[in-house]
Amino acid sequence: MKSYTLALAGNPNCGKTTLFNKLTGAKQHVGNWPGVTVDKKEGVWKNHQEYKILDLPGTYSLSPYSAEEKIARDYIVNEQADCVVDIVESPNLERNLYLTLQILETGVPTVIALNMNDELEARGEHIDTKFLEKQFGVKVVNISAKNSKGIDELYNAIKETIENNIKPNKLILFEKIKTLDEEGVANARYQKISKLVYRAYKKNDNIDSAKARSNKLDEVLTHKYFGLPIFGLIMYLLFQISIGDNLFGLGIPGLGQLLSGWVNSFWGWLTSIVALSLKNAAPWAQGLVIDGAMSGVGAVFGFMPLVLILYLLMSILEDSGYMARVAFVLDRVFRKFGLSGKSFIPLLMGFGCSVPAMTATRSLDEEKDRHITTIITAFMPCGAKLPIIALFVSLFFGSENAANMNFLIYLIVICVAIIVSLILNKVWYKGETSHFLIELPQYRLPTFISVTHRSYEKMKEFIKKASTIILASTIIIWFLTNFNINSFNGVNKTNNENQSVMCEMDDSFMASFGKGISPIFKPLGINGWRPTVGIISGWIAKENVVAAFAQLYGDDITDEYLEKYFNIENASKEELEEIGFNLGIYDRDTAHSIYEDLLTEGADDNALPTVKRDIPTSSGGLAYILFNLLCMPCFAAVGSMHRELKTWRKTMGGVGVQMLTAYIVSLIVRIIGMIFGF
Amino acid sequence: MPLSNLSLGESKEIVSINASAELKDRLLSMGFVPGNSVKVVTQNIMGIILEIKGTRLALNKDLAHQIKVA
Repeated sequence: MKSYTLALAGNPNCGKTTLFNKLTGAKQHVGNWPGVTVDKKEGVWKNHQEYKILDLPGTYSLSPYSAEEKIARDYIVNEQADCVVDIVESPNLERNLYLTLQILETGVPTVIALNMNDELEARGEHIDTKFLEKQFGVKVVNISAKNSKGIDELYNAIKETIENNIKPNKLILFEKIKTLDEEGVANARYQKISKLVYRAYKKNDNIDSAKARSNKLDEVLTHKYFGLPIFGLIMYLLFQISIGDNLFGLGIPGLGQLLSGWVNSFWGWLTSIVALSLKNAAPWAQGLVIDGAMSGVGAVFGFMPLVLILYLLMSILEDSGYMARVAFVLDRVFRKFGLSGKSFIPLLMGFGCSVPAMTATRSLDEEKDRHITTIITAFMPCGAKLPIIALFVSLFFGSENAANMNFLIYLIVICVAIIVSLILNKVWYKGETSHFLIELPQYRLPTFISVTHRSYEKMKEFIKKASTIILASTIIIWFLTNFNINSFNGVNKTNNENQSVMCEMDDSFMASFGKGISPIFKPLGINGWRPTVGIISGWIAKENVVAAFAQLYGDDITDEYLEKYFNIENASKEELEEIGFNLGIYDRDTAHSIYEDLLTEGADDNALPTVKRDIPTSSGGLAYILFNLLCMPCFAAVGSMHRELKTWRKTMGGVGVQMLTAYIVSLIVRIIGMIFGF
Repeated sequence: MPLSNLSLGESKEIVSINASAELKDRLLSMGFVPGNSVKVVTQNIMGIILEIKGTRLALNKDLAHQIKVA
């Protein structure tokens, strides 16, 4: 079967990626702000496998200036797709036709797809496709990518165009502009477009009310006094609803926390059932499944709802068209830090996941801004780092202080990002950023389907990650922390009472390895090999830090531990269950209250749970949180960094900056802690 | 006069652009073409939001200074 290549081209934010996803079944990131797609993506048309589809980055013109324009231009001009599908945002016909004229000028077979046509019809407007077809000599079809309308017509038009090799008319304009300078060319094109639009676009003069509403909205959202506070409020709600547990101080838990509690209970129940069914299995098998896989993955799973809700709310924001307004509102502030207002979009996305966030830096105009934003995006507390904050804050500061501590940590991270940006501006990248220009997309109500669909995709992605990378990491860590060389030469088997080949954690492979590195962290108030293992496992995936802790300090939470340290040998099963420990689940709140009791009773050091022996002070705990947040991101994010910074020298430089920042900030926190005695 | 001097609701025609080749091309393709008219939607300390060819664009003061209208 002969196969064909289609290239989707169009202005930024015209709906190319939405169409691409519809046609190929792919799940590329979409959003309502210019510059979502910044790389070309490839796929195959689901229902017509003979067509290969390329999603080119959105461009306003085919001139060879910016990186995205070059990608689009090179493809259209040189590689010669069998057919270029020019996506036009119908409500924005006039401006979009500018690129259309440039595409037609190249002479490649083209189909023009007037997207969002339903939006146009809904307000009583109409575009005369027949007229445009006659003028341009190519097929023009109405589609709505979002609502899957006109897809069959598009297919027929493409098929016909390729079969009959339909090429665009050679307009007189194309000859005329060869003699003109840049401004003259642009002028001639727009004059031609004005004439076309006058004939083809039947406007409804009564829609000014909709426009007026949009104007009013912009007036408020970008107001010189209200703009920033409204943005602050929206951010507050975003984080309170997803990860907070005290909305407006009214004691209302956020949706994420609520769901998180359910997931934790469910996992506890599941673990107890699995434990029961493995009662007669070998000790190592029980260990592998319960202490290795289930406790590690479970610790991560419990935080999934927080991340999911955060992601859901962020996708609503992205769909609404508000992001571009925030970029405008924040530009003046960001400029003081040596960044562009557009840096805001990747930085906010970094609260979700820094891999796509770093890619989003490509919508920034200057290389300097792109690179600095990429490096500091890694600092953002992404979804995978949330569990780290949540676990250690409740462990070291108590859940009653969680809200304040979370806020403080976010504040520190943001200040650090600003300071690093300022330093990088002075030292690494010199030069001024002066202009800011962004298209403000139309406000759109996010559709229920698109938001739920994306949340579902995110959940699937998370489950996949949990069952592959995180599961594998926890099993490897379990192995390395429960075995040593003597497990394989028979020494353990002879020495252990129960003839097990496993060893004490402190004698394991991982302990020997961790002990070699851990002295580095001693000045930060972090002792022992276990926290070091946590940090390193975090580089594979940040969720691993929490998973590793659940495993490494598993001894803290066993029945034997409780019996030994709390003198509750005679406690009833109900009493044990009440404190939730014998389920083998790391119950943060209970753990904390028990630790607190223990500390106030003045127990001697050896009676302390291992975690308190390793990190004895709250300032050490805070230093540990901050080190994990600020140091090198996971390897996936480092890969993303490399794609943006281009060279390994710069990437390693960026990682170096992150490592150094993490160490310095943690050290400062620890020193302040020593001075003030916390 | 520079675009930055326009006030809310005012509508003027673009006369010239004073910018690097790259920036100028971007501006031209987004509709900042001599002869096209622009209308100011918002104008404050953060910058200026305007409508050009039915599209809404936001730019900062520095950039607005570089565009002359009449």
